[in-house]
Amino acid sequence: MRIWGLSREASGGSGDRAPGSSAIEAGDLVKKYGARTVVKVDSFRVEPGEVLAVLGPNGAGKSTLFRLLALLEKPDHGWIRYFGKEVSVRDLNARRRTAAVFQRPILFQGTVRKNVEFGLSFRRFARKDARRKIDEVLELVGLADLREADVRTLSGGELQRVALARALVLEPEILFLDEPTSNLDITLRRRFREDLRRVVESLASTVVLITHDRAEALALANRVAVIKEGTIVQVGTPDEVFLQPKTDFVADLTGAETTWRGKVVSNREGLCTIRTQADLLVDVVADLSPGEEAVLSIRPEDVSLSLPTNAVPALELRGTSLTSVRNRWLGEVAKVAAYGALVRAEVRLNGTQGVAGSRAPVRLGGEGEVICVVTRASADELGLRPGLQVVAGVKAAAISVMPAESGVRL
Amino acid sequence: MEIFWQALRDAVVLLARGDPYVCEVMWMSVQVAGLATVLGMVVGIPLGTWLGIRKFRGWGAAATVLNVGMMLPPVAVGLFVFLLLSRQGLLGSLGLLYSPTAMVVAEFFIAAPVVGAITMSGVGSVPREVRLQALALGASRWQSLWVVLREARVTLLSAVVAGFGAAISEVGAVMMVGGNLSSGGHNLTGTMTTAIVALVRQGEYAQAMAFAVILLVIAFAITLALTYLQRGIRRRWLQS
Repeated sequence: MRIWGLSREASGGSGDRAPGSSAIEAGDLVKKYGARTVVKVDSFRVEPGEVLAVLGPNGAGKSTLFRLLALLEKPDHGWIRYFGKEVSVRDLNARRRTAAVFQRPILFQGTVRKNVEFGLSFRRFARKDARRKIDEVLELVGLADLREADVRTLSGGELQRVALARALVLEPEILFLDEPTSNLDITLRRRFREDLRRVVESLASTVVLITHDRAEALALANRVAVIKEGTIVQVGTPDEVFLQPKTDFVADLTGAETTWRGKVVSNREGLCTIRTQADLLVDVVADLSPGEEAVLSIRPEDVSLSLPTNAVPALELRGTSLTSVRNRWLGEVAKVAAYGALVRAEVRLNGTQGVAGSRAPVRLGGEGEVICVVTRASADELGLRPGLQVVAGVKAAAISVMPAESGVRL
Repeated sequence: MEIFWQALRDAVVLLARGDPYVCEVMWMSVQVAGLATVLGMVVGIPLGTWLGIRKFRGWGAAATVLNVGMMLPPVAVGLFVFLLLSRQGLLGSLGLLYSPTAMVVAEFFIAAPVVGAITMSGVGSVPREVRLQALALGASRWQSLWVVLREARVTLLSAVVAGFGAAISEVGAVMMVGGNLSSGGHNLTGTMTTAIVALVRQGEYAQAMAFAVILLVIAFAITLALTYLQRGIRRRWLQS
């Protein structure tokens, strides 16, 4: 724990680690509610200092797995070890090595400071030291000014920050984050996630992040465990899981969207042109004023691939278009992964490598990567392979646009 | 109407003079109801908390019993306690009938279910995640319970006050097991409520009115204190 340069006094069982052991290790975990098996995990391991995301759809047993691992609920079967030592629900000292942020920020009545103080008073932490730590952690999450505010007066983003601060102040060896951003609206979520990343990086503790949001897993995790119906179906680095999904299920879940940030260049009767940070020009349907910042996302299913031909631009130079697709970018296929009837490809857009004769209508300039999903049949007919030059097309109406408000109070 | 104003005037005079009999009876009432409420809290708060937090087989039955307890006809309670303490009763050998202790016992059975049932509903309305969150922040079992009770503290306060209110305004049960006895002008087991009944029967309207006024003042004070405390707690939350 390095953030405050303080010793581990707050976290209870300090120094109780078997050398070379995993931070969390679990085996044969089974939890049933009535006749329904909610969690059935044969083996699970989180290494010290890593951020492991447990990714799964709603109802996959993520939160139950979290409660089992955090020693908040008793498994029907199985064992859990923290740093090589077997632990259980009854083990208060083990529980005090952890802290958790819940999906819904459950705050206790009182001020922000009082809320952050709770965990410390559970541990009978000296009041004077507690005060200093609380101030530091509130500074860290950007709530220093709201220290004495009643929690009932806070916004959703602020509440979630208090919940985070309340866990961080304990300097936990293991931090559990159960869907920490799902309660926030989309703009807040992005900012909170950025902050979370900063905090997690400075934290050096082991983090278990429970999420249904692939972007969150991608943004924060060193490793991703995909959970389905209570069972872990794939574990690996984000690259492994996202680019080589072992099953359709994993592929569906990890089929990440392409997300770009950019600035509105023009708006002609609701058709905006946006220049992305990587200098790519994108037509979208939105009512934004020039100069405004926006976040674009493109579902991989909405991206079409075609081979660049000389005929099309030649015709189009005369002012007619053969297609209604407004965004067509030249690029090179970077990665291809097949699963089931679909093929997922990443196309590195690089207009400067234009094919001879292809000009204006195919937008030039700018870079970026776009993720697309096409059928296996199409991929075969195109001869889709890494290195292939393609035109990636997206209809302006298929791109979802959100203003990226920079002044939002979190 | 004249009789009413006359009684009220006399009552004010009695109270202003600090009439010894009135004071004794009032003090007896407060003591008995206070002690019964404290005992009611000792039993009612843990019971209500337990039923508010745990759901188990037979929970519905237990909760119903508690809620019915709140509606217990005081006269029935009086009868049960009377039979329990009467010479042939289970505890008859203790010789407690017609003593302040017997009245405390009777009022305890009135106050405890009120405290218990309101605690149960207050604790039950605290989200389950509160306790889970406390545990996740390193609370021991007891500490997590304390957090839940802290969340429900305004309701707990109401529970205690409502219990006291029910006990002090109770007539039937105390009359039956206390008997409203006095000896040589000194009060033995009279409370304000039983005294009113007896005094009215004797045509002593002034003293009866004095007690009625006190009871009304107590009711008013309790309500006021409760409102103030709730607001005060809020204000202190903001400052602590």
